[in-house]
Amino acid sequence: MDYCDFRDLVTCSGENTTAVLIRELNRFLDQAAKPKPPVIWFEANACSGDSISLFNAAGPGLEQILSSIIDLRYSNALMAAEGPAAIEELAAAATANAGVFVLVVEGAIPVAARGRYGIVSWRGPMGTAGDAVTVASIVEWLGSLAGSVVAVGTCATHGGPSAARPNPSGSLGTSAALGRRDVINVTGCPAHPDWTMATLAHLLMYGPPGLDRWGRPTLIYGDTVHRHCQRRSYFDRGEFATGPGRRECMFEAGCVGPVTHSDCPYRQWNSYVNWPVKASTPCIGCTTPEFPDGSTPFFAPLPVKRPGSPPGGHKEGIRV
Amino acid sequence: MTRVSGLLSIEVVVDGNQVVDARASGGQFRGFEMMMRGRHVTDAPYFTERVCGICSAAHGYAGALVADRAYHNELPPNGWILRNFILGAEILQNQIRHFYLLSLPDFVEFPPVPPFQGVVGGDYRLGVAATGRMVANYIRAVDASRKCHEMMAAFAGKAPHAHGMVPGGVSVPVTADRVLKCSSLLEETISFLDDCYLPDVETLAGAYPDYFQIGSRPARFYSSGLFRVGPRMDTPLTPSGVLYDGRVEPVDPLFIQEHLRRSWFDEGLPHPAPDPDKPLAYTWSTAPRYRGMALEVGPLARRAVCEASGPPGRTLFPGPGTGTMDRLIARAVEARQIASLIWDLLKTLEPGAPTVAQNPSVADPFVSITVEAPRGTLQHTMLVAGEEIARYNIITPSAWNFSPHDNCGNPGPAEEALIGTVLADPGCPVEVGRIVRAFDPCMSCATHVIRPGRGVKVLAVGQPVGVASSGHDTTQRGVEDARDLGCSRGP
Ligand code: SF4
Repeated sequence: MDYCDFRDLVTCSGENTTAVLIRELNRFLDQAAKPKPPVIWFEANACSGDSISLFNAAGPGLEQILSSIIDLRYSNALMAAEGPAAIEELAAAATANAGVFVLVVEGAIPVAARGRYGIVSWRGPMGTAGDAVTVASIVEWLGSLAGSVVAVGTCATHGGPSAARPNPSGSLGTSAALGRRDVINVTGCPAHPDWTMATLAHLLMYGPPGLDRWGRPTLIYGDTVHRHCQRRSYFDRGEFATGPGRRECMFEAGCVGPVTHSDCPYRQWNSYVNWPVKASTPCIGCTTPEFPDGSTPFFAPLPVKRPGSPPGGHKEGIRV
Repeated sequence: MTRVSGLLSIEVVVDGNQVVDARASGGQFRGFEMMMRGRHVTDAPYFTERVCGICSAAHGYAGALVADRAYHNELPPNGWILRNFILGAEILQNQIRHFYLLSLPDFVEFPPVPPFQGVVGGDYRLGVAATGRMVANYIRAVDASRKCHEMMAAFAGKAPHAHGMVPGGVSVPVTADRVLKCSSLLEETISFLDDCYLPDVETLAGAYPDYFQIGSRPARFYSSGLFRVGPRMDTPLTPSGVLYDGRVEPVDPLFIQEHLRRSWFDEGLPHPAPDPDKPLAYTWSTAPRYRGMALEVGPLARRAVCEASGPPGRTLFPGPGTGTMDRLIARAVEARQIASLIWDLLKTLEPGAPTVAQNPSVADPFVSITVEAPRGTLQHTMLVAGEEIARYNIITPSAWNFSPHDNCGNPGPAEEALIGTVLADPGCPVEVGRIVRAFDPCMSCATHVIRPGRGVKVLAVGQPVGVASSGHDTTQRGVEDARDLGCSRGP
């Protein structure tokens, strides 16, 4: 399977193609006679939504992902170990696989007040000084050991909702927090499970995927939502919905599809049943680095919420 | 702590083999209340959903309702029916994931392959056959919970962080194909509940009977009533109230206070600010108290309040116990009831009829609502200036359940449940994880709360009933009185 087939496979998703994906992945891994790549999934300041979204993966489902594709050495959401044993697992996994493991970061890195807006555990009794093990310190340590770093969800990539103004916790995206430019950014609030898996798959099968200027794999974020939207014909004819719940183009109701890069219109969500514009609501641009501040008020037209942005692009080719 | 949503640390003080003190520390703060200021009223549902990824629809439900109240929206029947359907599907997803993905590894020995490796100790009591069945059902649960989100997304656009719940109703039209899809997914879910979830909980309860006692705490509960019906969504389907001393009384919001002494917030009114270096504080969660009491919320609370509000003669609370197993059972039994209920809701949808009705301008600048999320009572309070949010306050279920010691030194509900526990092996305290996870902690939810401070004064204005009859006026003085009363009547 060459790169082009692979790209087709992941961009035109469906039960069949994902079944092929897992078969191909397995074959690849068998052929390479490699052990499953160790993955550390670390949850920073997040809502757990990207984990839950991954649990919603359909073909490969979570059980296949865990049993056949990756060697999930640490996951706050799933692992059986707890307390000091869990932290030991984390330390052992990171040191034993230094330079090799894939670090997946979910959530933003709070750096204000020496990181005390994100506390993972305690060295001594709680509430005493200098005792907190912070998200920031652990991510920094893991980042220094990881072979590659994948940030999943817009909080992890660019701060996202965790860093929304006034950002009291001083939250940053992973790349900014680590000062590491090679972080692969899988944006989305949450990230679609296929986006996460396609990125990991590409990384494992072919090495780092091609990235856009925001560090996002172009195979997912290559085009705008607007370009492929089912309601594009309404847009082109100037037929705009006055609010959510109508069948016309959602531009006047606040859609930021023209400046948002993702494949939602093709891919769709939750076993491919729906997506925001199909649900007669505006795309709120959750894959943009500016999310959410650049998307609110959610129901105000794009030129109102982003003054100076293109007026909605009455021509094809709006790229920001 | 692993297998919880968000960052939670638990510290227990052990004397001999007995837990004599416990502290629950929520480790993260993002500050949603501060972020909400200055945003548009209609941003409330989508924005507050980001508080929690595992029960985002509950915040969406609350945020949409807050906006509805502000605009005086009257929802068409399809609108409020679908809101409840979406919330119901979210709760089912949550409860299935809670039991299998988060709780089960506490009681069942999984094969030691990643991510189940590295467990220290055990106390696993199930035989080989039962263990095998549970592990197989874990995998089926992944599938079943995914389908709940699929059913939710059919009407909500996507999950987590749904789009369908908009001010005025739900944006997706009712069509036969969607109803059919949801019916079929719900049928599969019900089979899973009947064939796996309920029997598995029963098996656990049989193998771990001591856990009806372990994790017990005083029977003090709060429920605001599950699901809300009618054009203004003001009538809960199950009873609301506060249960203590064996009786249920109507909720008087004036008696709800958020204590801050052990939380990383300064205690200055009117705007407590985050204070991450505050001495002696140990959590980002506040300590909500009702008349000074720590109240448990969640499925067990809903069941207890329901049973104690039953027909005359059953007004006292004998009900279930308050132990770890009672929590797990209440969650499972309620999930089955919710599945039946949303099945009925599906049947009452009317294809082609409207699903959204929005009023153009804000009619009520102050709104406070409480709804039931998967983990319990969730309160959103909003003050509006023009169409902009001036203040927003959220009291989440996990803020109640995982609250720290309050200003009077009384522990929060999960802390209460831990205190007194006799550990079989203090070197490997398996009891602690079991007790704590049975509450289904969600610390991304719990730990962003700021007391409204003087805003509490306004709280009374928005409450049409209950407050006036409580004898308290709506001044700050009334609030102070309530606070004093709360402390002096502490347990
Ligand atoms: S503005 Fe939004 S709804 Fe309209 S065509 Fe573009 S992406 Fe679709």
